[in-house]
Amino acid sequence: METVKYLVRRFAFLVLVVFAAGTLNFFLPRLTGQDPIRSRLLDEMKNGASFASGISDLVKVYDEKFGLDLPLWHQYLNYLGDMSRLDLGQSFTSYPRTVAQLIGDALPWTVGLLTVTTLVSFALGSLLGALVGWPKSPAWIRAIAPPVFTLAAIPYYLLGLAMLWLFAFELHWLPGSGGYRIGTIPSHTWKFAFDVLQHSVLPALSIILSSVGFWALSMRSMMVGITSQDYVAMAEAKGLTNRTILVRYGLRNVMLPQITALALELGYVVSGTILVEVVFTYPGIGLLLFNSIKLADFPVIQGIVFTLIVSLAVATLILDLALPFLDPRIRRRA
Amino acid sequence: MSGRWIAGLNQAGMVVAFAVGIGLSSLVPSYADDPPLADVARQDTLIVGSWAENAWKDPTLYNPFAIGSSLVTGQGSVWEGLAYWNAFKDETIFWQASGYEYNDDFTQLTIHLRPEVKWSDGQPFTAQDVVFTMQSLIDLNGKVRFSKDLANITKSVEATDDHTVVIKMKAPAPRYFFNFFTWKWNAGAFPIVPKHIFEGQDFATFTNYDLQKKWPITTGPFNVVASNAQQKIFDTRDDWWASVSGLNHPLAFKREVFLAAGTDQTVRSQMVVNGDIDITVLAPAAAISVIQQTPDVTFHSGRKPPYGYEDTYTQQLFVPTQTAPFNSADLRWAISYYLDRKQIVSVAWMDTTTPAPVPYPDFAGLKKYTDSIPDLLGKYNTNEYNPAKGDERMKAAGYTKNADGMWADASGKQLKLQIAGWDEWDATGEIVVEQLRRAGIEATYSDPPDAADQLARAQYTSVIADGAQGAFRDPYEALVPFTCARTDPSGVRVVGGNKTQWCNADFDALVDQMALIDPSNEAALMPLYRKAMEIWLPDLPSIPTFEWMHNIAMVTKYWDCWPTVDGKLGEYVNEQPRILGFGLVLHNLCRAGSN
Amino acid sequence: MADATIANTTNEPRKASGSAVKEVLGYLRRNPALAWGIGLILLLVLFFVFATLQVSSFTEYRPLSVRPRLPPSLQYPLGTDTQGRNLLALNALGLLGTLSIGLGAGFIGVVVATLLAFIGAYFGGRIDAVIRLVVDIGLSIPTILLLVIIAIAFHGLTLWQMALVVSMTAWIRPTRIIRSQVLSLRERAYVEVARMSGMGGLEIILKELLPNLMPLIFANFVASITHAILASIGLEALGLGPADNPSLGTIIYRVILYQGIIQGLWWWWLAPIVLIILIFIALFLISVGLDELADPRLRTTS
Repeated sequence: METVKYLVRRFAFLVLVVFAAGTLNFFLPRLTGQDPIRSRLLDEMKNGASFASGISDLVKVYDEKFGLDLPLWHQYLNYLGDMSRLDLGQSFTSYPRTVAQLIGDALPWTVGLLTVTTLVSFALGSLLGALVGWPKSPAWIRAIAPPVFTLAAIPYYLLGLAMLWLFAFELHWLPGSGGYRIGTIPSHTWKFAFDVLQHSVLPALSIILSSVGFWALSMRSMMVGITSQDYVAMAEAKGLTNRTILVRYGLRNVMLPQITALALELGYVVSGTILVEVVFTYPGIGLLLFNSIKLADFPVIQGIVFTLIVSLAVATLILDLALPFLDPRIRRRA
Repeated sequence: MSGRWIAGLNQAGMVVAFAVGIGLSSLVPSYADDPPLADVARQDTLIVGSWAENAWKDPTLYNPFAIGSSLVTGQGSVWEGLAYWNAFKDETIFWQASGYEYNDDFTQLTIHLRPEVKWSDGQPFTAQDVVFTMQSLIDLNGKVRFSKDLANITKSVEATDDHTVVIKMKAPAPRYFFNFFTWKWNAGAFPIVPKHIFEGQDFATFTNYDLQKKWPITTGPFNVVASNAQQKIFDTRDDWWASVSGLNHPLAFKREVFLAAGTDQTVRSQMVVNGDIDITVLAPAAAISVIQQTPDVTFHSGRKPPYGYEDTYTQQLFVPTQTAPFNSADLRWAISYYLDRKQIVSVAWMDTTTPAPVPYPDFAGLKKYTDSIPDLLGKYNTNEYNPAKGDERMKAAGYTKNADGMWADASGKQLKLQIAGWDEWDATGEIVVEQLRRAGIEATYSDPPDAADQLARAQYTSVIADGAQGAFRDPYEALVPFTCARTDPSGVRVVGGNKTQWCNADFDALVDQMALIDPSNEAALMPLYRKAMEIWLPDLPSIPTFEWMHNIAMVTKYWDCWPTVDGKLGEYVNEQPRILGFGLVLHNLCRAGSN
Repeated sequence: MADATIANTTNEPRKASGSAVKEVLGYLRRNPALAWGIGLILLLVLFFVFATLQVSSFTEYRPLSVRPRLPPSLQYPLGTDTQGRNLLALNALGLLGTLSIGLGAGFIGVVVATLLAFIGAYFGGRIDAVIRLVVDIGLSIPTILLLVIIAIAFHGLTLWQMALVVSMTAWIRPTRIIRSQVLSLRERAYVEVARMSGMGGLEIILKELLPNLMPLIFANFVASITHAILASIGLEALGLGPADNPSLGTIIYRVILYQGIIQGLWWWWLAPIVLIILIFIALFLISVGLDELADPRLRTTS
């Protein structure tokens, strides 16, 4: 019964988050007071034009198409209706392409980049943090720790900018922009996969370098907490080897909080990735969002923000629900 | 046990990573379903970087009239025009059409088509296609682009035989062919679409894209073989009508890759230096830097300043002339005197442009007119930097300097100029603001995303930096944006509208007379132009600043015969890849090192 | 336990100033992270002082002030940019601007957070539930997305408006952390004692809880400064920064906008990046140091 109640409450919260985010999402862009469709049509004709007398009629046609001629509350209701049906609508600037199509084209790039970098930096960082926090680790590990921690203090995109300059412009080692070599077409070949890999090295590296330190730090502080516990002293007294103690009593106990932290930090990771993608013109969600903001393409902005928030909320929900099953202590408390 | 648990976690991580790696290719994109492409060597490929920084319209939309369609992103390469136009020599290059003539009072236009033109599916291109395209647009009356413009002035259109089209106009229109059928920049002209494909389709929604059917069917030299959000790829056809008939040599390259640049200047110039790209637009600093880094690049003016070619838009400061305090000609002249255009050109533009004395460019057709009024431009020197004269004009406008050294009106209110521009204006904006501040005018600069809209509605509060309506070949086009008929704060006549809302009946009468005169009739236009400028200059409705240049890097590693001043073929067109005239560049390109 | 000790030291009457300085220095020796962090901040202050002494006039941060494109020299130690700004003057003022945004937004953030945390704890029930819900929702939304949209809506901000925008998201995380600490302190024995001795709710908060929470609040202040500076530089680098006030992110935006990297003007972008990195490292070290202060278990030295 308790569990059911908890599940219901947890799910209601998810709905609330999505609703709140969706509402902010709807009203914030409209605060700008811009007329995006007009601006688009006008920009397009900026490079010289004769007498395009029909533009207002055209704006009207577009406005009707997108429902922008309706009063704001009506637009909001329509929007809520669409969102509940997961219909993200159509892009202003890439009409008649739908927002779902645009996101669909960009999402795999971001998901790929994010998954790999998050896993790598999580694994590397946790390991490093655990070793640093463990009193009996070798000295060289303690020596590399401070510089790595320090990298955590530097924003992703600044690191990206510096690496772009060094590796792409000065040394010409790696491509500095795009998701794959220009002139090739995405295909299921090794050549293409290698190309993609090569293009993702710099963006991935800048994310990994600056987030390893983050994981290491949180791991370290938990590890320090663990080592002062009585059962560790007990284990030592029992004569267990260092390694065994580290793994059995140290890592095991801090892995779960660390995974919980991962769930909480996903939002931050996503935010950081947006700017990295812009720096490297990596064709993912971040670049799409950036360009859509520049062009005031409301449906795409809303679609992206909405998608990100929903997926983050769902990820957190899954983790919240899964943790009690993984960790007996939490189960007991609940 | 716990060790296994950790190992399991790592294993799971690796499995996920691997799955994502594999999944990337299957998850991806709708465009991965396109038919596979043949490999074409780099030396047979022309790679074009588009200027449209963020504006990549739907890549699967090849109907030029559909809602959401844009001609600037590669469609100019795919479609062909009845004629092209070279601003630098003021000459028309006939293409699908072989010529045209008007009747005596310019109410009827007869167009002759080349009989050898064929669609890419082998069907002949005929007068029926022209009539179908025009009539469909007229019937849609405002529902799609070009439609209203055409409907406003066209009385009837008919095919008298397979290769002759006769158009009757509602009023004399000596610029009808030039406006609608001569391809220049992106202005006003549109492609003729194949009747046998478009008939029965809704012009507003038909996409005209299906690679299996080899759509789009055009008369142009390419088949579209791929089209996605990053790039469009066009393969050269052997059976292109112009090469079969001998009008043009076969295209020098086998494939054109049209990129949605989206990359910033730094990356783009690196691509130029590496030869990864054959043509793209660069900002002044980037242009100068690529010249220093590689011998394999040239610009419109060759490898020396000003590098770019000038646009139809001459950069100006617009003020709402019907609103105080900008309704004072003294104030407008004061601002003009306070601008040190030489300094702007050298600091903000690195000498890649020149000051402009008049609100239109000095293309061959227009320069004759500007050159005919040296006395007027001497008396009203719009490019003069003279703070003393500026101060005089400020006093005449009722301003005095306050204790802070800033100009304030009789009530003590400090004059504020909020200058709005757009990204290309940023460097200039900061310098202009500084110059005005030093002269005692409190100025700020920003580039709001909807600057164009503010300008079109004349809803801006003080100054906006932008170009005038594009003027190409005769003073009528240059001056008509300053007429009362084009003022409309509601923004109905936006493009080519009167951005300053300035209105002068005498000036209008002169421009109205010019409207009825053949643009090539210099003798009749010249005296009217002079009289109009006698009104325009002293009142200075807009403040001319400098020419707007496009620095387009043309890489000579693989391709040559670019339209440069010192090139083999001279400056035959403006080389901007996003404009309609870019077709001429494609036609004329030759292999580097060949002749 | 840890909190109690700190509370005691702060509540104790001041000793003679000489020994207090010695005590602080002694503590800093035991807490090298904090010492290094404070040292870096002093270095930044020194940089500003140097600029004040060296630059003939701070108005040289404006364009057209000096000859453009000069590499670093005795006269212009950080060189000049393409539009004739003295980069030493610009960077010094930019540093000031960025730190002002950070301090301003961080202050607003932490004050709002503390207030909300206490209001929640004091009133409990429905009000607390609402605060918790809002915080939880706020935490699930990537803040940069909100900030970008807000910054676009109010294009052309001043420095303080920028701080205000950034502070809009700076309070969320501190509220959560401080609130949970307040809740746990509320159950502690000494609060219980105070309550039984007849202290009112407000009195307990001011006299017992607040002093005990100071280290945590201060740590959150540092965290929200970091957050605010990070966000503001991100927005500025995207070209959404304050229009007329210098800030470090805006210098970087100009470098990108005017292709400073390919023009080979390394001094243009190096200085602001170094300054930004120094700021972040300093804040980071200080927060590590504060963690140790608040939680002595983390102390590495003994």
